[in-house]
Amino acid sequence: MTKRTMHLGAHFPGVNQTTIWNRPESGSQIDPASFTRFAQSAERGLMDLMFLAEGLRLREHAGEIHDLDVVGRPDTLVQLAQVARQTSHIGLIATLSTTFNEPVEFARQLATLDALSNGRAGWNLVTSHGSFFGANFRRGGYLADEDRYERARAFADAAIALWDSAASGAEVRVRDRFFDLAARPSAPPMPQGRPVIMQAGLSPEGRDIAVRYAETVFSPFLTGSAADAYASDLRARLVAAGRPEDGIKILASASFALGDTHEEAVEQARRDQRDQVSPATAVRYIESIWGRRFNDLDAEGPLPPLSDVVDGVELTAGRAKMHQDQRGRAAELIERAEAERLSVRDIVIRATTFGAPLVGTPAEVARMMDEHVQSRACHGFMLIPTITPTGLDRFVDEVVPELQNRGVYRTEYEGTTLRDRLA
Amino acid sequence: MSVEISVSSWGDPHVVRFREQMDAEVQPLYAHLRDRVPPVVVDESTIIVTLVAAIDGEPVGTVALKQTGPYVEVKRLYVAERGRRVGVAGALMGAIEGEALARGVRELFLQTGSAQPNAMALYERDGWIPTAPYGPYAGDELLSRCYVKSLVRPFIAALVRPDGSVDRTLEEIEALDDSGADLAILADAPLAGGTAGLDTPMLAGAAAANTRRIALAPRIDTIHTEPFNVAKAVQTVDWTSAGRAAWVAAASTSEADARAVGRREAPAAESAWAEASAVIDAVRALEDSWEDDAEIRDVATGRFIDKDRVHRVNIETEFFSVVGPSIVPRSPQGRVPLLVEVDGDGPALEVAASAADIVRAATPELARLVRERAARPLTVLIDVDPALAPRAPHERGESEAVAAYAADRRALAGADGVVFTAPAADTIRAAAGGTKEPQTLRERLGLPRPASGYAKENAR
Repeated sequence: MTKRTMHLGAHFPGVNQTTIWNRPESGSQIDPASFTRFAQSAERGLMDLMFLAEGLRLREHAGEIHDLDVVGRPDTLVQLAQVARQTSHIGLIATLSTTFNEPVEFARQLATLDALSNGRAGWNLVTSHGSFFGANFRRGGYLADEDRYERARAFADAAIALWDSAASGAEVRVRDRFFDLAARPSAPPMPQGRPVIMQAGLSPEGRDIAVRYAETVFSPFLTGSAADAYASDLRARLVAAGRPEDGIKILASASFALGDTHEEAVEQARRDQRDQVSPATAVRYIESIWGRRFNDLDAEGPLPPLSDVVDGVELTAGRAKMHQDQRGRAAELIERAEAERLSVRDIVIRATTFGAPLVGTPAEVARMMDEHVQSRACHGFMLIPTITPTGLDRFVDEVVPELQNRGVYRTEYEGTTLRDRLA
Repeated sequence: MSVEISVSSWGDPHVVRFREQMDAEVQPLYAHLRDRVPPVVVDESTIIVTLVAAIDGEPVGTVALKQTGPYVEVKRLYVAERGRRVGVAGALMGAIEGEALARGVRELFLQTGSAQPNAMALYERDGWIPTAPYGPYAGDELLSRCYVKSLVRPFIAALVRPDGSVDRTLEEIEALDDSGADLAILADAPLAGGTAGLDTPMLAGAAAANTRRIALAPRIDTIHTEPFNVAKAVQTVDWTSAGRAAWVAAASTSEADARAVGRREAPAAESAWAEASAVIDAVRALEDSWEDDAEIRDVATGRFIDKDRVHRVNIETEFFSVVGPSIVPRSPQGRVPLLVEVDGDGPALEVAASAADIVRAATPELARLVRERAARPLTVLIDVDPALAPRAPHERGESEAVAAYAADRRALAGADGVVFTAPAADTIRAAAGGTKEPQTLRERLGLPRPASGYAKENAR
């Protein structure tokens, strides 16, 4: 039986809570040279795509700008337009919201990226939550949360109609609950016809969007029953929609730590975790669960008591909500910390997903990745390095050859477009 | 023997005598034309300065500088027999150029006659280029042979109209960079479609990858876009070009654009430019929202930024509101220079006068008007369509004809530079005088890099 081959994406570390910024090798998150360096490294590793996340407002904590993680990023489209001219093969995925964009301008932007890259443009289709982000846009928090996905579908349909009319030049008219527009295409012809669409997010509405539009998804599940359940749910939805069951390539979020020996890799992972979770970061994490500030909490001391929890206060703004049941989560952490005698910082390190699930020698990591793909838990991985911009280098130099030796990864780029690569 | 040049006056008896000698020598050459070309009478108040050259204390020649409408002319270069073939003419011309330069003159003109080939040869050896008869000589191709010399290298911009082919468009920008042009203005296509357009900030980001020196000015509509997005795109063009960004604020009043976006009615020009002005203010506030030293990477406290140096902008206008801060840290130029295009005496001209760093004027009249209204330092560029360059009777090629036309337009407009609205590579190459080291656009314009307005607040 032939083995299933693997797809790899490269998440630019930059603005991400897992990015380590305090080491000598930690580079700039905004210097365009960092993006060039990262993209060229990913391309050297024959990766399918490079991924940029979106930022529509700086994250806040307790009403102030969150200052503990890397912050400050370029405009995704302008940056990727530049990277498009510095690379030849790698796909370029822009995360862009259907909530605060308009189809005509958006369609032209994606068409420009596809033209600049000769058919390597991808769109990670996301929706945005209401008034926090809306405060930076003309309409403010105009869209009710429950309407986000309906607008997303209307938006995607309008954009697709515009892309599809590029060849004929015919006028596109859209009239629905969200749009009332009439435009002829104003974009150059797209080598791919349409960009590759990616989706991320687990809600039923999100999965519907994926089945309707996406050719790839960015999944948070690397392994285990959650990954298997998600993959089989997507397969079932695809078949029900009349699409091939592998019509969506699942890229599982994957951080990694490598070492010459297994022990070295474990030690590397431990160092990474401590650099990711500084004492201040640990305290802030606890504050977001407890729903209040702790100005004097010692990160090396015990957790605050459950009685300190203030219910219903969301201190963090600007990223997906972390905890539905804050008090329950706090009780869980207290119990575990007491049982294992863990400090605030140690319990946060254990509790967060910051730990690297792919830890080992290059050969061990390659074997784990191979197994996940063969088990159909995913089709590949979105690698999330911890260091900007060189965090991918060791993976490219040492894990990629192992994957190639196992016969599960390309030895040269096939086809020319991003869609060709994902096929 | 040494030649001494000194400032004299138009009425100095030596100078008067030299003019009489000159007329006596030159007029017979044109005797057959006397009826057809009326003599030019010089109003003495238009003489800016008169120079006299002397050898061993004895006056041997003269030259004068004259204001003739918008033109500054070299007039009445004359060297008496004793000063000929010893470099007196060249010394006088060098000195008069220096006088002009000291007075801020950028373009110098002169008229000589078709029967004076020796004079023409002298000027051409000295870097003067043939131009069509200007000002008082306009239309006289019989007698007048006119020349122009640029004393100051002009600021050279070129309009690039993307046609949907990214490769062709990028090659055009790269060729402009190679020829030494200072700025490419990237025209947008209507959102309403019908012509293949590119997203101009993205085009600028792409062009920055393969150019070294040229600044890039994407034209961006402010009516159908988000001010927050405009700021982050403009800032990112500045990052990706290492400080070579400008941006052109446009304000769509097109019904078709409004229908294509489908969010609002098309505004009238007055209202559109009021909104553009508000967007310009918002972009500048967002550009300032991160102070330059906001990123601290302080390991001891675990802080990546000093949050007191990153500011909400809290902008509320009748058109929109933006909280901020920008997601983009302060860019290399701090505030990216703003270009406003003026093709009439309307609201765009008012915004240009009040807010622009660079103005592109369609006509010399508008160029002078906007400078007068601005009453502050401003880089003014005048449109030059190479196809309209008139041909001088003694021209030596198309590229020089275009250069002479550009100099003429600059003089008429009192402009600092030009915008070539169609390809003019050879003219640009000659005018640019070789490529220079990369600079930020602000450095090229002589504009200091401003501190963030919020930093000043902190200091108070």
